[in-house]
Amino acid sequence: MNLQLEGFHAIVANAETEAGGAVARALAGEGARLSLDGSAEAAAAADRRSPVGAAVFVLPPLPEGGFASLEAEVVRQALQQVDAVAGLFKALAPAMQARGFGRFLFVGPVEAKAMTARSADLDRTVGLAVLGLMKAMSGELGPHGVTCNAILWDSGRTGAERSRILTATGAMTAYLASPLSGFLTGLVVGVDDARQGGVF
Amino acid sequence: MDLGLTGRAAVISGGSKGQGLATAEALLAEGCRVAIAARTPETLQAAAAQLEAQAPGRVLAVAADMTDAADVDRVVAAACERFGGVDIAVSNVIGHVIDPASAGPHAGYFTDTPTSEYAVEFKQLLLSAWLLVRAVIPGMKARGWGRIFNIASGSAREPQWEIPHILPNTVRPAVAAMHRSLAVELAPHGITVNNMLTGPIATQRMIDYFTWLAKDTGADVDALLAERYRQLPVRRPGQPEDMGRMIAFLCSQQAAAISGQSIAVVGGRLRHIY
Repeated sequence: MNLQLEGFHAIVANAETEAGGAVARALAGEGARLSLDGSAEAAAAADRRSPVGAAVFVLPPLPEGGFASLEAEVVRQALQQVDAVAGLFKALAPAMQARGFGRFLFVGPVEAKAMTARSADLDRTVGLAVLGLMKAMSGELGPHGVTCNAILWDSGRTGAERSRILTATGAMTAYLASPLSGFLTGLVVGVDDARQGGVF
Repeated sequence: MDLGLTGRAAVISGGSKGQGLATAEALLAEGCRVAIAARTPETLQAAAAQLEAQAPGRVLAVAADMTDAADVDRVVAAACERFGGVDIAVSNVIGHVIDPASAGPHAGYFTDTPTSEYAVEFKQLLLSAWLLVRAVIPGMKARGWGRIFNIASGSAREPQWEIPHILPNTVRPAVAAMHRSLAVELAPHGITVNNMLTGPIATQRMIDYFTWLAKDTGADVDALLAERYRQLPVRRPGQPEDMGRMIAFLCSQQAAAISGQSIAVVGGRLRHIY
């Protein structure tokens, strides 16, 4: 399947993380050109140099634990990830709207929609806040050819299972970054071997 | 992206038109062999000829009623004989009929719909999917690989109460729940199961439905459709290929960990966050 990503310019924020690496490899494997600084300022500059087709924000690993045990400063820093995603929208959405094409993608933990066994209150809170933002933006940007989708991966697996989940996470991200996926927006796709969540 | 599907064999019920046909085209484009099943021989043969022109020697067409156990078994047996097994099963049997003169179940609101039509809708949507899954699972388990899809409706997740849709609003969630359960049960065998929620995709069936609705309500069909599209974030209808491509991708080796999902190919119509 030709995803039409040859020469496509994509930003991958937090590509140095495990999931970020999987996403970057999948996009590069399809011929995309990558910018790896996901800050709002760098994204705006990258877009001025060469129009950005897709911005992928990969949530970095957040401190584990329940809220009762977390320091306030740790929580505050984690919540800044939501600001970072909003910053990407601010930096890129106007130009994407003007061009009538764009893809925003969030790659986060499956805990954003499922109560897994992991003690991961920050993953849940930050992840779900970003999902809310993504969904809201899917409605706002949809009329302008800009889609917003999320991929949630199960980081609780090990070995070959983990490798398969990371491969699927990267591939799904590449598919949703593709010009072929313009009718798909507001999605949350779990990559978890059917382990997490309810019927929906 | 090489999806790794060359030589895989698929069975698609309701494969002669719309999203079923588009799925067949997408899978053939990836090197699969495809058996399509549908009730009406003329439509089926026309679709088969179209697909055969795309992929000579890789298409099988079997006229069948996919709500009938013997017919389903016959389709799967024919596919196994021709292709050596079934790796991919796509359930795309339609539910309620649009033409009021046809045998039911019919499009309608709760107050318009006889109790007896619920049983028919369950037969169309749930029984047909269950029979197909039941027939293909043993072979998939034996090979340790399989992909199962239920082409459902967005109404499985969010009821459409603005149109006469009580039957799918009721039955589609049940079919989705069955496939979600199957996803867990079959995951240890390398088989993924996903619900594909469809929405305003410009198939002839959707046009026919809104033409009937316009006639029934005295509205203008173009105005009805325009309003329908205006409510979508993407402001336009999808194409059957949007569904076909998505299913082909989910069949891939790369997508082996994506299972138990309900993937909405609906132009952003559904409003829930997840």
